[in-house]
Amino acid sequence: MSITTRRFEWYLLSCILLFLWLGFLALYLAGKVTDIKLSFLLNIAVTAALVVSNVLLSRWRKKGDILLFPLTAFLSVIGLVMVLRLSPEFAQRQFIWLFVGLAAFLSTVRGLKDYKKLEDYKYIYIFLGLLLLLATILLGIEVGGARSWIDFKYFRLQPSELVKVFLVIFLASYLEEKKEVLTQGTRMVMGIPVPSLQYIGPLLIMWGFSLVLLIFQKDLGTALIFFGTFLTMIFIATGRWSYVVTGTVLFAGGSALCYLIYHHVQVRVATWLNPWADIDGKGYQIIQSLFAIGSGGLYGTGIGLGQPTLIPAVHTDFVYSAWSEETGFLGAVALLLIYCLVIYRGYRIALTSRTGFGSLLASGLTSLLAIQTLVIVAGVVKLLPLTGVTLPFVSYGGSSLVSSYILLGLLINISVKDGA
Amino acid sequence: MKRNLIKIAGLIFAAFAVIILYQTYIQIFQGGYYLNHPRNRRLQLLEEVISRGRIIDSGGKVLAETVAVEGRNKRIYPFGERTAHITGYLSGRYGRSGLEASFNQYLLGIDGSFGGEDFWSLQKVDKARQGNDVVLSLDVDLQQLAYKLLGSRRGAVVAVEPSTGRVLAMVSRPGFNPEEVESRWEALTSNPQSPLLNRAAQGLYPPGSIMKIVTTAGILSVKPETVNRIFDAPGYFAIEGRRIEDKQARGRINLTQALALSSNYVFATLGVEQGARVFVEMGRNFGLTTDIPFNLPTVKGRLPNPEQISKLELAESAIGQGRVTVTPLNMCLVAVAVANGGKIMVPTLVDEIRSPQGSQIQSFTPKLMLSPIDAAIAGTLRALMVGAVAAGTGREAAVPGIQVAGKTGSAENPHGQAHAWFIGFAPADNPQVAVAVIVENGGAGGREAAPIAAQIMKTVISGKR
Repeated sequence: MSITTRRFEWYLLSCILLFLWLGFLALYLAGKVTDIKLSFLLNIAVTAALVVSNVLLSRWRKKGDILLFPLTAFLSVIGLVMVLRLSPEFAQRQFIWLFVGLAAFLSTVRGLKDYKKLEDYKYIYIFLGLLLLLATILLGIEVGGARSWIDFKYFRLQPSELVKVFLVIFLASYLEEKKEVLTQGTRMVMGIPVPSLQYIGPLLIMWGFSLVLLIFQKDLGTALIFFGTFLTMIFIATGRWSYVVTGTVLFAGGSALCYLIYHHVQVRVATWLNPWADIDGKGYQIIQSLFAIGSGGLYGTGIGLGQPTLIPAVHTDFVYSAWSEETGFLGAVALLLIYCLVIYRGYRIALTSRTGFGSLLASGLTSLLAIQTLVIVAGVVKLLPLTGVTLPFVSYGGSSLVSSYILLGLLINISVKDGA
Repeated sequence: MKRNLIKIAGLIFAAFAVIILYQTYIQIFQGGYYLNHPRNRRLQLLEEVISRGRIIDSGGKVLAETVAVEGRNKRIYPFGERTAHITGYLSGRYGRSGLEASFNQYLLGIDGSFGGEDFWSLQKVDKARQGNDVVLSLDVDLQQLAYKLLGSRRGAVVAVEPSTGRVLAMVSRPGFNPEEVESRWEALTSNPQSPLLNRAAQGLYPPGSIMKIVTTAGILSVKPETVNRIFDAPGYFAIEGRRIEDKQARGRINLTQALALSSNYVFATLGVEQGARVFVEMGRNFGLTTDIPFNLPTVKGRLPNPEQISKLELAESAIGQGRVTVTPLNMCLVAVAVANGGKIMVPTLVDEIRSPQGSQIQSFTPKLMLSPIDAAIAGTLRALMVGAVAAGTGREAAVPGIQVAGKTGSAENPHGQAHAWFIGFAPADNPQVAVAVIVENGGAGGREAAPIAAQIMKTVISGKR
């Protein structure tokens, strides 16, 4: 790595650290820091952790993408400032989860240098993924309407976060192997197009997978992310719109069926269409979110100076609304643009990858990140029904943060191996 | 595969673009709406720290302002009950009414401008921060005069500038003192005279004979030749076996005399002749059933459904009885239409919003609301109404040296004596003011309501000279 690149990396990192400390200062001045000593120590610790991560990263990885880590570290730092602001009682946990996330990231970069090995064990991932989902269904507890958590007494895990990454690895290797078969598509039997089993099989399996999530875990958001990611990957592998169309129709059909059968789905849709009808009940959260975003205006109130805590559960599902209130429209668009940059870098890695598997894996992981961001942001601005998924790297939540950092490690490894 | 990937990337970025566009809509264009929504708790938090702006009349007199009393903000209303229905009240416990409610965001100075050049955050709001001033078209001297003229009687007065729709006075009696709303809430809400009700815009009354203006407009719209018709008024109108009585038989009279004498026979006849459809349609065109876009809450008048109206009821409606009910504001706008060549302007109370430093933030320009009649019919009606004041029931509305047009009404009602009504405008050839006066259970409109209207019109016109 050249001196200038390294210097550039340090420059970016120092900007992020500056934001962290300025954010902390702003919160202190706004009187929002409850435990100054602890917060100060946590900030020192995270500064050290980011510096160490950057040193290790530049030592272990001589080439590859240099923007992804600074960009996502920035998102994490935004998340830390917001958790300090919104719910200081959870801040300590979130800082610890960030250290775990960074460790997972560095281990992935160090330990999985040759990402192509992943291709050899594809059925293990789907098996592990299904096992985790099954465990959630059997042992899970319900939090915020979705039964997607396993309680470990000291902390809770949301296995579906990890399953998403497993699933993308599996799909990338499966699609790479079956690409040709899948592209052949339909045969004509007596003038009627009949899709072959190979063609429709994986589609049906994934559809079932998503419906299981929807039905047993009441987790519309995760189901949407799973299926959306799958559709983008199968399209990238085959280039056939028919998959996307059939898949969308299947998913819409499944959702419609759930709507007819399950009362909680009907309530959720009604709340989305007209939250004002039940402003003190089901519609309360989303309306408070709209109030927060709308009240932010162009420039926002300034960090620590708004009233985003009027939104219930603001630190998990509504960080984006809080950010929009306090940093305004400009801050919100800036945040979305950071995501766009991350996604752009991700697809760029997919484009430059020399292997089909690498390309599929990188584009799948990137799509996963993109779709998850879109689903939650569209939810809190009421463009889509609200789903309790996390905003990657920013929302409070350990499982999400750790799996996002593993995802990032994989992307970096692909860029190191095949990078331009 | 690379091309497929680029297509997917395009879709993803397009989705981000959609979200950014939608966020622009809710945060930039709808931001003011959300910040000022009554259910947004931020608003209540802000009200505790911002000093509300003043409500000022057209001459600069203060109708409502916030002053610091012993370190606490107190809202005072120098004209008390005389402007109570205009300013409304402000109470932490019972909410707000009047302009305090409908112009809340302007008075707090948070009318959407926070997004642009200001931050609304509580910690940064200067404790001495002033909201904006609301400047009215109302003339508080005229308002006080009208309040005094009504005396201890229940009733309402509305005075409007016909060419612009600017409200010059709007009085409702009995009034209440906005500063005492919290301490006297029980008494105010249980009082059978409903002092909190703004009778001028929300009181529904039978119009009585002032409805004959609308009836005449109806017949002229389908039979313009009626102007030259001669009637033979026998002293009653018989229909479906019932009689609608007049005070006396008049014999042969023309339309001008019929309106001047307020002949029930003639207008019941004309009502039945034009038919229910034309009659009700004309009432609607005059905005009697319209939800009037006003700065204060209004109620809609009521007209019977033309499909479900008998000949007898049509005859009764044509002379303003039966199921027809209207507000004083409704009938003032009927006078406005005649005065203004057939055009009703949207009535407004607020002329402009001013910053605490005195610069204009927003001004309100006259807008056309309805055109119920053409200029020719308006001209005919004007001549008829001039006749009613010059040599008819409206004699007491006459102002020396000024030609006044008007119509009286004495609306029978189940609550006792007839309601005394008068609507009119002056000067007839160049109207500067249109008025509607009602005195509840006052008796004859010509005796009770017309003199009040005369005083109002005289004051406005002499003030302009």
